Amino acid sequence: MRLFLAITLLVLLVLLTCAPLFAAEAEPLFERLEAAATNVRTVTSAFTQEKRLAIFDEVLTSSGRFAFAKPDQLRWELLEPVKTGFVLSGDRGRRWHGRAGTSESFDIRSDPMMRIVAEQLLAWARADFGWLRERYQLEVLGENPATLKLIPRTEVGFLDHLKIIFAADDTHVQQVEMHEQDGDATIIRFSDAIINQPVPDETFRN
Amino acid sequence: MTKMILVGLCLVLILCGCRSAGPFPAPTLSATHPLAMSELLGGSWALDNSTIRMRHTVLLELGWRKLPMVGLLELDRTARTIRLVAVNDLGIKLFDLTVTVDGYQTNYLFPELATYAGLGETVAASVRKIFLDPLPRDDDRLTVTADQYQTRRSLGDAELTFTFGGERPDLLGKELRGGAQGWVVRYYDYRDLPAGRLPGGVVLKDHTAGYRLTLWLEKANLIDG
Repeated sequence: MRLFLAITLLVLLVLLTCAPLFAAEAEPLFERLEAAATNVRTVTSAFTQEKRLAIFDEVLTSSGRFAFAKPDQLRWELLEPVKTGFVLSGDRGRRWHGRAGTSESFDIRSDPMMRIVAEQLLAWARADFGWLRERYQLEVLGENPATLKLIPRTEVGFLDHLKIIFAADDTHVQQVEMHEQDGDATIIRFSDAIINQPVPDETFRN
Repeated sequence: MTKMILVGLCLVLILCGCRSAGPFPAPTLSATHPLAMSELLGGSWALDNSTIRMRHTVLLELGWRKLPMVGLLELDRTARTIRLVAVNDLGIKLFDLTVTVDGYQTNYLFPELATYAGLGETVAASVRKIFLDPLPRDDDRLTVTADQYQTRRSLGDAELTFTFGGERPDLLGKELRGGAQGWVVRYYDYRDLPAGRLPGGVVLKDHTAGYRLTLWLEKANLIDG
């Protein structure tokens, strides 16, 4: 009986110490991240993207550049293996595809795919926890660096969860992992981030 | 005089347009020589029996909509099946299809793509035509011109043509004309890779369904065989 109690206590202790912080307990961390983001006007960085396809046991790797300027300007540009990307300013943007030699404008109000992409990127670039909390159950996996797990509140169809790792100074996201229900995953690692340096307007036009 | 120059320019444009499609240079043709059908078909990637995995950059043009993507395709030429997964530039999986000679199965379709009616069927039909079926056969009728080999067979009131050319010679095209359907596939930029001799560029135009699919080969691996 004494052994049973000891094991039960041990299990409880392990569970309590390992349990992630849920939204209410994690408020101070979210406030810390939001405060850091408040001071960020521009971000530019390089990134690498890995798409892991479970069915083929294959990793598709690409790399490129990212730029953000408050409140709603984005540039997402792949340079390898194929030059492709988009710029966004407000609701309107332009995307291009180097291989195809195409360039076309879009409006996220009438382009659901681009709306999803833009909303996600802007939410992370702005650390918009209000927007994120409406859509995801947030768990804190670590505080230094801030590491969050996001589970969709409603069925998204393919997404199991997201894992987000912030930079040590909280100013920007350093890694995004998108884990899908079928075992596929996308991992985006940002590097060489430059914060609050002037970004020419042309960066957001193409 | 100006009229003549304009007509001349138009003729040049039309002639150039006939030899290449979109982003790929026209294939280099060479003088033909007598070949048995078995020799013509023997070296073709389309009739090999190994399994290869290919990564393509893909542009699907459906009317005025352009859908670029990355396609990962496993072609099992013994079982005559294709498994195809496509992702967009941000790594979002768009669809996952299994394609056979006479059907297809949707393993996954990104919900927002449901707005493109018949997308799965269109893609399945396209990759089937390009990689799987129809294929040239020994009993097709062979015609040899100065720089091309053509094999033909009738399919009801339509005619199916396969065109070969170049030094090897390589499969340069498939075309179905007549009847209710009309489509053409052109293969460009052949490369000798560890996975075999494969086309670096493919363009499919389906005149009946009104779409065009362009593939740029980025990578190919032999899986077995």
